[in-house]
Amino acid sequence: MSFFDHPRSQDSDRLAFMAELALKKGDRSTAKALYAQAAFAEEEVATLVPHDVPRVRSVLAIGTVSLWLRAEKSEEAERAAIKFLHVGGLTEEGRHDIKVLLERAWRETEVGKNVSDGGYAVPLTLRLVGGKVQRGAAPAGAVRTRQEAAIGLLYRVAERKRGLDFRLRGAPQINITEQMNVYEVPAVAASYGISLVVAGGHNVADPNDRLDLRDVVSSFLSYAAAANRGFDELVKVVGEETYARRFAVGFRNIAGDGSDVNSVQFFSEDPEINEKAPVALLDHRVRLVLSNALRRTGGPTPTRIFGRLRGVSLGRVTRVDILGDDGISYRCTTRTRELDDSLGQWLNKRVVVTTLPPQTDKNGKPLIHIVDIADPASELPADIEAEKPTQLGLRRFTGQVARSAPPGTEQLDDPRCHGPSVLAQVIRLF
Amino acid sequence: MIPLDLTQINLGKIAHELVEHHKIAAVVSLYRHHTPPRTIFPRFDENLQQENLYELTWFGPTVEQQEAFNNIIDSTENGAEIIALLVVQACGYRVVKRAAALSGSDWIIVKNGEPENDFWKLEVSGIDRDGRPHDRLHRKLEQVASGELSRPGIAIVVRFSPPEIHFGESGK
Repeated sequence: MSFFDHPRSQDSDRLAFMAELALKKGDRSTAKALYAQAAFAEEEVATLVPHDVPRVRSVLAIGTVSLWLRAEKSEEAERAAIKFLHVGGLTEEGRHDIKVLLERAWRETEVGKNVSDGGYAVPLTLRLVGGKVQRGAAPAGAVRTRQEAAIGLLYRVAERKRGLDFRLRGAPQINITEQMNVYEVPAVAASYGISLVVAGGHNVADPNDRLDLRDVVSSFLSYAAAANRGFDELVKVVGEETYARRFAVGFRNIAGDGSDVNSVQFFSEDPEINEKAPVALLDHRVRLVLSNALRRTGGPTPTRIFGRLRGVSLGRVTRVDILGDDGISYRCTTRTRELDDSLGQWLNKRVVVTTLPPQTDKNGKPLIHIVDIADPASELPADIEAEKPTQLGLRRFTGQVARSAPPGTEQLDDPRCHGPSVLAQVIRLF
Repeated sequence: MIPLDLTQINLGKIAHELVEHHKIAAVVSLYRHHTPPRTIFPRFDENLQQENLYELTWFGPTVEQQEAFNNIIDSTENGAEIIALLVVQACGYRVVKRAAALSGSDWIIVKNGEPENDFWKLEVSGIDRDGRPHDRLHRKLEQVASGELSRPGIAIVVRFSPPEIHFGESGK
């Protein structure tokens, strides 16, 4: 007997399709009602499938729970998920996927309690794939840095959508944070998922002036997809270079690093967003391409310092202290007094700092302006540098480490550059 | 030359509403670049080797249909989907169901003569004109491979202008 061809399975597909059309027309209440009918029909068939056809049973059971969630019937989704898990007859993967959906039903119910009347919550998942990532387990540092970067970017997207001037430093303005909260929810996915929920705040002064949270998450995903196509495309989609640069830094830091995490997929389980936004995938190639673009200075050739970020000083001038691999301490400053949102996460970690050639201020003190701070995974490995620059779509770093360079500094091959030996002499500060 | 006929679609028990909707999306997308009743689509594999030629028979859309499907992104995606379904059908698969969201695929298909339990996944993407269908195919194959249903899958990219079909398989 064909269960996929069962009349109720076909009913379910038809109703779900009609629900999508209603959603596209903006008729959410009709869409929800149709999704609920589709879920009911799908569940009828899923229940009929015998245990010796576990893949088909799993597909239909997952479909049932997904459709209940699309209908925004979390309690029905929870009931169906528990029923299928209890009765069995699923593949191991099917059981796992249903547990994921069950977790989602629970957290949507919980987050819903914290959302003000008329508000809603929008899920966003970053799925880490490959490298040292296992099913439900991933290196803690790799998770934490990406989660922090994603949350920072979400607030930046909200600010951009609100048309606010670019924030050089500090926390988002209160009129953003009172309208939007980002919740962390249990991380579950086929590989490892960073699961966030963007929910409306309690204290919205003017209900007609609410942030469109779906637009925030949808734009976040569009920017991620644009980042996959490179910095210039990101600038085009964001429409403003300062913001685009910050988004490039954030997505670069989230992208696969080639060791702990191979790639990161971005998606939202929100049906309205899911229909429109592409699933963006950022791998190590994207990290390298964005790093290369972020280090373009439009003038002097940058220099790099490899070392450990030891301190950040938030005085009138932002100062960043690096202990170089060569044992020398470097004190650097930022060009625009801007403090990178992601800087805190690098404290006491190994970093590669790209700087302009050192200068001196009016008092004769050395000034090193930072162009970029990143994880060393954002560096081109030597073999790729030598063999595949064109394939990676990168402007080739033509220089090798200069013979006179002290360990820990790398000099790009450009006659305009002051040279690493000068750098080493000028910036012995401590 | 393998015939594909948009004027007489028989996709088994797939919802009639969906088939009709996607068929109109396809003819509107075709009509933006071509003249009915026939368009030749060469098919390329993952290594850009040309494998076959498909001769697609279709009809011109009405003005109302063009107006109703004037969103290029939606009509391209939906139109590509119905053409891809005809392609897999011509390749000996039965289209059985739309896949649940986030399964890494759009459709579930079954090889003719094989049990339902051994289904395949199908992921489809459409390009209105130009672009890089070959790159898109590789992204779609990655998506199929990393989706939540651990089953082999097929990715198809349909480009309307110049007309091309890109076809790849992902064994899992």
